[in-house]
Amino acid sequence: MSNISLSAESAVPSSPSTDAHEFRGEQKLYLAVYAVLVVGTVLTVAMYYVHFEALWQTVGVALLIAAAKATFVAAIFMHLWHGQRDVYKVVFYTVVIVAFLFALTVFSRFSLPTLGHYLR
Amino acid sequence: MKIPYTTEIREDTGLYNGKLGMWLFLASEVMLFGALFSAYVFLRIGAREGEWPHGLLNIPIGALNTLVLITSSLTVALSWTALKTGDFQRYRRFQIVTLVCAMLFLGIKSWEYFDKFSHYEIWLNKPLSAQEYPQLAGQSTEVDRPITSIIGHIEGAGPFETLASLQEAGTATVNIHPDAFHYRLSARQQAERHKAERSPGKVKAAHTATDDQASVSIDVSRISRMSAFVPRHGTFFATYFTLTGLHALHVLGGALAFAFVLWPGARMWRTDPQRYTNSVECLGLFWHFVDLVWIFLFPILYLL
Repeated sequence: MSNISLSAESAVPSSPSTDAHEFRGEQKLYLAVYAVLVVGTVLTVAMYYVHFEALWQTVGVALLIAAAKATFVAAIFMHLWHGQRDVYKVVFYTVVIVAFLFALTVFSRFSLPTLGHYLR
Repeated sequence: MKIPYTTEIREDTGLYNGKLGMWLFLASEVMLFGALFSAYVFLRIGAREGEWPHGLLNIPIGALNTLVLITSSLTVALSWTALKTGDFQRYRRFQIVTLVCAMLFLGIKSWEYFDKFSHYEIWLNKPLSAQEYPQLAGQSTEVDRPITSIIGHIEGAGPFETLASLQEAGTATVNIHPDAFHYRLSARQQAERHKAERSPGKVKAAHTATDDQASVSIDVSRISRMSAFVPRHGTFFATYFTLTGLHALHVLGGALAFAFVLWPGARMWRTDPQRYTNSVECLGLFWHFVDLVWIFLFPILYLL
């Protein structure tokens, strides 16, 4: 995959014939990822019928499947696989900030005021 | 004055500007949906056992929507590669499929929404006993547990009826076809219900509640509150409609952008094909993000 240049960035357009050869492999990859995503969806629905002992297991498996699907979409469809550093920086800092905000919310749960039976 | 770096790479970022800009926008969208997701999660885990509505969302329809969006993501990616190889007609064919998938998603969502708007829950002034009303066996499980609310479709009622509108129309009684747990519960939801009711043996019969149940007549005077499955109904539907509604708006916006680029905007393919390809790539990024959000929404809303 590393020899595929994103020639959209170059000012000189490449000729269609060389591009077609390059992108044939890319298209096959997209179709493969599509198959993986369909399988992932089937797994997600199949989870409906499996009972796990603990809640964290159910949530964990569901989110794991969803995260795996998301990774495939992000890496291949969104071209993160081609590794442009500044995009990685944006994604990394987004994840860090979102994780931080989630953590803030989770830890706030332990200092919620008690208001009777609507809140634990 | 030419817009810089629409096709040339900036030396410091290594990208053309549109791509970095779109990624930054997607970062802000992550904050938006992240906040809404965490709100849903907190409300969900804060609910006591047996008090969170279950069986009210149609899983196969949700799965179909997921597959539709995934397919549209694939066709967007393939249409971009078609542009990169200079094949505009192939790009156009793939984009038409993308737009069809988008319309299909929105159509299915609208059907889901409309089905909810004419599905009612009636809260009663005084609870009914399940022994007197065996048709309501599906609403509760233990024989002696009083029934405080009934879920179902009401004969002759359109969407968005409320107690006030019923009283204004002078309706004296409503015939409701009870169908709580309308859709089959997941294994997890069944287990939770078992624990809440604490009588696993009796729960089995309750799961077979369907629309075939005979209707029950309730005097309007016995109703303390009535609500369709609309945001006002309760926390579950408020967050469900907020999350899926905002997502559907994103799908619509993305579809409109694709349609613009495909028809009126296609002039740029003749004047500046590289820039056109880049704009399709950036829109594709947005579309994949919308697909990503749904990939998380589907299990969290429908399954958990």
